[in-house]
Amino acid sequence: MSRRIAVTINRDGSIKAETLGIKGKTCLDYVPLLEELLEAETVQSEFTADYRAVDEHVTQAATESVREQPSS
Amino acid sequence: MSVEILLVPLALAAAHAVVAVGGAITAAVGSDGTEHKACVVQTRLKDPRLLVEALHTVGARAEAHDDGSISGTWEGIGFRFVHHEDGTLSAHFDADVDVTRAQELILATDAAYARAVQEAVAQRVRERAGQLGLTVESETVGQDESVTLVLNVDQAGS
Repeated sequence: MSRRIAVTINRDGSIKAETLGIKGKTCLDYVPLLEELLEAETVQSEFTADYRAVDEHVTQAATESVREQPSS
Repeated sequence: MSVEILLVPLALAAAHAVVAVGGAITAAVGSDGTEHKACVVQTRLKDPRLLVEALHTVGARAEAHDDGSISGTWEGIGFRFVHHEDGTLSAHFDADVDVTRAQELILATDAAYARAVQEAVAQRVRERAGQLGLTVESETVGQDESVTLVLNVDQAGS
């Protein structure tokens, strides 16, 4: 899946940007890039499904790894 | 989806509503240094150039001055915009102005200014996306007249 950013510029001048197909913390790398491109400042941000999906996967893998370690 | 962000262009103040409700009658210092009563309406507008354009769009006569202020008239109402420390511009009217009419001017000007910002931001994306390794894949206009540009980031550095 190609990685995209959808930028919506509203009539009142406000802007909404949403990363698409960019999973995990990598998506945060695009925040300063968008601020530069749009000459704008971020006033609110929210992680969505893909970010949490990757984080939960990592958390689950780490948990299983800990369980597999022999107790001392 | 991974992150959704809301942004406000630097030409607009993020912390202000579209326009302050009501006009406060307050003491203001005029360009001649003397204090007088004025009706002051706070705005979220910050860019004097865009403001003059917006004022012209709504049919006002407006002129920018060397001190950064803007003065003019609209349908017989005189006004003066001056900068605040936070970068926003407030509109000053004579204390006996019809506040409803003054607000009409400010609301219409705010709308025209916002449209100018919308077009300026869209144009900036079209012009600068390539420099940042992005490709504009599509551009659509919604029923609410919002403009959506979809950027492909596969060629970006990240």
